[in-house]
Amino acid sequence: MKKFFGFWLLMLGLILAGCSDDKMSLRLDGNGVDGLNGNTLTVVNMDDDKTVEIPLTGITGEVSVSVSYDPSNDTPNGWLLAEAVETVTRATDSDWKVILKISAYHQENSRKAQVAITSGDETLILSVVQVGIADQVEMVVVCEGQFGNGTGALSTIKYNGEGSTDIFQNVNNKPLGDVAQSITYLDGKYFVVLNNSQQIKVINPITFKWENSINYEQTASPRFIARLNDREALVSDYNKQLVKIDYKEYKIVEYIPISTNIEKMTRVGDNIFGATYDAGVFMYDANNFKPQSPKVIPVEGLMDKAEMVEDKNGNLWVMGTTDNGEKLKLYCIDATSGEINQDASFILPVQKEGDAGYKEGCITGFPNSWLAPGRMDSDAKREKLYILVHVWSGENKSADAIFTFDVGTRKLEHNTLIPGVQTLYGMGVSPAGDVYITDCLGWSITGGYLRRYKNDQEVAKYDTGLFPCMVHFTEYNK
Amino acid sequence: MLFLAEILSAQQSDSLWQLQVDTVVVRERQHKRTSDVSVATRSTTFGMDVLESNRTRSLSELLSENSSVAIKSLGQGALSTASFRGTASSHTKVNWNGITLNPSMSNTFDFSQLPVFFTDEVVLYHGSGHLKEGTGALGGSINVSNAPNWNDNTRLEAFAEAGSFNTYTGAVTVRLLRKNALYVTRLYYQESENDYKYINKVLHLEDFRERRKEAKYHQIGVMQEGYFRLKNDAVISSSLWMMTGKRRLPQPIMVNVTHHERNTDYSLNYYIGYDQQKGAHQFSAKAAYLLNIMEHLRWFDHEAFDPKKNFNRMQSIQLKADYSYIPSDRLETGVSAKYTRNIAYAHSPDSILAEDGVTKIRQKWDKSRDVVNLQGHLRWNPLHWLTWDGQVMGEWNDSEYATTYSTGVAAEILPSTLTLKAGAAYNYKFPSLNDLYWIPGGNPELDPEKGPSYDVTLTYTQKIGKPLYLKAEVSAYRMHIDNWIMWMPNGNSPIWSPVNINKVRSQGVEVLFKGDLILDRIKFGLIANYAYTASENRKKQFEEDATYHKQLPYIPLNKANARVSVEWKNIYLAYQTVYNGKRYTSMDESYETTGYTIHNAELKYSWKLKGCTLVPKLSVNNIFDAYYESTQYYPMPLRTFLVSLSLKF
Repeated sequence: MKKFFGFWLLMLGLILAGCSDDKMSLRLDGNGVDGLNGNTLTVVNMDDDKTVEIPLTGITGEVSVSVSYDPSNDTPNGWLLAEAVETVTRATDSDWKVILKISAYHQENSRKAQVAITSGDETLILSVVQVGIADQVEMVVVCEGQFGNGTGALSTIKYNGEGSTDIFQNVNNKPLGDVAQSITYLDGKYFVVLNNSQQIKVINPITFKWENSINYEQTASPRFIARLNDREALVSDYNKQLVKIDYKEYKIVEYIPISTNIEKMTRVGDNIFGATYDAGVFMYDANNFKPQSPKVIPVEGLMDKAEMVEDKNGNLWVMGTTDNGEKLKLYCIDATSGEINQDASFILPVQKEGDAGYKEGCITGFPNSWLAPGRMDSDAKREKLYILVHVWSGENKSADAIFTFDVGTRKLEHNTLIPGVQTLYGMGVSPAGDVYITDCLGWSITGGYLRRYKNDQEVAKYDTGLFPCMVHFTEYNK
Repeated sequence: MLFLAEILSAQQSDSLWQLQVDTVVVRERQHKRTSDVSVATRSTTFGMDVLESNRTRSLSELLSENSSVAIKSLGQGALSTASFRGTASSHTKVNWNGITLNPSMSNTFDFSQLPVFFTDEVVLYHGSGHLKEGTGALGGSINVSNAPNWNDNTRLEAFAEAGSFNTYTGAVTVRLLRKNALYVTRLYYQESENDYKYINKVLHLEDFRERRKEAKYHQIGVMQEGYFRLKNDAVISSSLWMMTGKRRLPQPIMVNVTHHERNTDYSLNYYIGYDQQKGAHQFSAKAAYLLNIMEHLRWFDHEAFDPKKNFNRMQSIQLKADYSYIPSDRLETGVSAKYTRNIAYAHSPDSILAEDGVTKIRQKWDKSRDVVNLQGHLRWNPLHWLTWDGQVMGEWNDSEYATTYSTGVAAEILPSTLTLKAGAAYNYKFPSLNDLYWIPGGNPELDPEKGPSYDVTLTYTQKIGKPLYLKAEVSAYRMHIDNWIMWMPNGNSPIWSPVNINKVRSQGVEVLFKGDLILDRIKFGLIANYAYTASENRKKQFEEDATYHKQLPYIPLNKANARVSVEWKNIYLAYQTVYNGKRYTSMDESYETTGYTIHNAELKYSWKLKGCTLVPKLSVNNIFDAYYESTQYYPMPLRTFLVSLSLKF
């Protein structure tokens, strides 16, 4: 009997001990605070001073703060000032907040400090990291992951070359989702489209903290996002529909049936363009959006993953074919009228074996991957188009290569071969004009690579998640 | 007793209870040949108490919680596959009374569709030494059988169970015993809403509690067995087994569900067999016909797409004959022959993209395959403590031919106490009909998967006095499988195709401990299994291949389970713990699903009334409400209660 009561007394003690853990304790109220993840605040303010206000909860007495700087910082102390402010009355214990004033910073290395926040007998440590240039994310690679396995990922590469193959999982301790299709920087957030999860995740671009979601409630196969107005955006879909979302309230506004499937979408000026695989390019007027009656631009031979690139003159370029698929053609579309500018368009000199021009380095067609035709990009100035083609490299060898087309001089030039790619999927050109290729490594259900090329050679290689399909350069967020 | 029999008994999961307790059913098989597998092959036979405890569960759950076999399940009632020793699920052969049940299209058996109720015996052969039923058992084989029990006077067993998530099961067995004939009829029905609650931690920003959606199922089965003893001591056996069921297919929890799937399954299995033993001669013959039909329907909210219906039909005709000659206690030899004709038909309205990017092709294909196996074996005891055996089999698989073999030795190091067995085998697995002919993507140029395996097993059995019986068994193995088939996007085509791509090496250790203690009125039992399985890719596809020397997906490095039981008077109590270690979900070990431990318990009381026995039972599965996933993002049920009542006349 003693043992019986002893057992239940022990259980009661454990329950009470468990309850005691639930008492209010000092903590930061991170809702809505940009860059705050747990007790770590990450800030990027290269040009201007920044003020961050963080509400506190669990206050048990007067609040005081003190700052200590990491001695390894390259810059003098004093860049971070902190104070605790009691805003109105103490009607509730959340009326205190910590105000941080952080001076602008434009150096290579990050600098760090800790803010000790004390209330009553409790002290909370807030870590502040001000990110230097080298520690900032330069590129975000969207990795589809294997269908049905939830292995979609965002891989990041910093300016210093360090990377993370799945930063979303690392930061949030949750999977990104199933089949990541695209990333769009919109309204200061990343919107990542997850095809099979039928979801768009909203992610902080500095901390990669998951902030919100847009969940589909009807069958969809979402792909890419283009901004419609200051509140709404269109999401392309492989379910013969466009989906209008409210990117402020994070909700679906409308499912709009259309006549075909649109994959890539982009906005140039007041028009939104969508590439279809069977009906050319659709153009919608963003100011007078009529989903059922787009202007259809008859681009021949447009492929599933065809990119649409805006040049410095406001024209839209897309690569297709002409002469019943015999030749590759860069179609130049007047982005205002939606008319193809035949004079500005350019037919690539595609050579066949036996042609006089069939010599080393000549273009022979689309690249050697069913998912790569029509891949193209531009540099930051939008002066050159970078196009992905297949070439003959002599002695029965063939290879994929990047050519550039100068929209001003109309000069087509070999840029680089892209040797060593197992399975070519996506491409991107950095603002500085560096060529990046995503490699799915033979679809071998292993990770992938992002490869950088110059002068016909691979000059850098970064690990990515599974099936990398798209590169986003953070420079374009600015 | 000859040593041969001792070796056999070492292979069985022999239980002192079964030997000593009068209530234990002594089951008789038509014939039990020593040569079904190599003498070195490790086998596991589930005890009657384990089978009884799992009567209303599927073979998937039985294997998951009571063996070293790795199970990958999408949830209760949903697709569930099994793999031995780090191999693929398609490398597990499933036989019912010696008839191969593996579907010819995928070769992967769905263990959720086989209720334990329809089995009287389940024997696992670990490793590739089981050649008798043809090639294919690269990892091992699972052999379920029904057997006549001429000594059991039970006429009727009725069973009803109700459990959490609106799970209801009813089953009836009717036995009609005549002087030389036995008829057994089994009826089975199970349905479940299967809408258990769990916390979804992946789909939304905040964790939330939800019910499992769209996992409802029902299953109906009937089996009619007939056994006839002839004057010449021969037995004719016949069994017709039909199952049908409908099940919704739940989606992974990281998906906003806007489409729905349902499978409707029909199966008909029939065999007739003849067994005779006369002096040194044993002969048996069997003929079987199997039919499996599966209809899969996929539909979408708001009719966003047209519904899609797939239809698969598989038929199999199997004819086999065995002859064994046992001239003395020290020698046995025999031959067997088997002919199998598999016919598959598949129809799907799914559209695919052809080269022009637009054309839609209606998928329909109809293929058959003829397989002939000839097998010979010899078992010899050159010394009273030493047994050697060898088996050779030739298989003509359509136009392909393969020779397989196994050989083994068993040595009794300490009489009746310590046995050491060692063996080697070489086995094949021919591509499935889907691998060869599926539209789109089937690859008729595939080579068979193949490779050698090596086994060594040390078995210690000790009977200490009258009440205590101990058995400990440790097996170590190593196997290579070349030409491992995987489906993947093929070069420049968007269509997935199977290719012979990997080479796999699997090696590991399996440990079994068993103890039975019988005191005056109380009986204790313990059985524990542990498996360490290192199964990795040993071929670089290219220089940067990150899968090289990485553990294969869904093969746990560590798996263990233990079951303790106590029987006092008419009360029976069992407690079970199952541990499944971390499993990688990608080939390069970059993604994983965490390990889990679950606890189950059951309590039952046998109430003996005049002329009948009533057995009320309470079972609690997953007592501590552990969240776990057998397949990543497919949660398994949390705590489950089951109450049942069985009646035996």
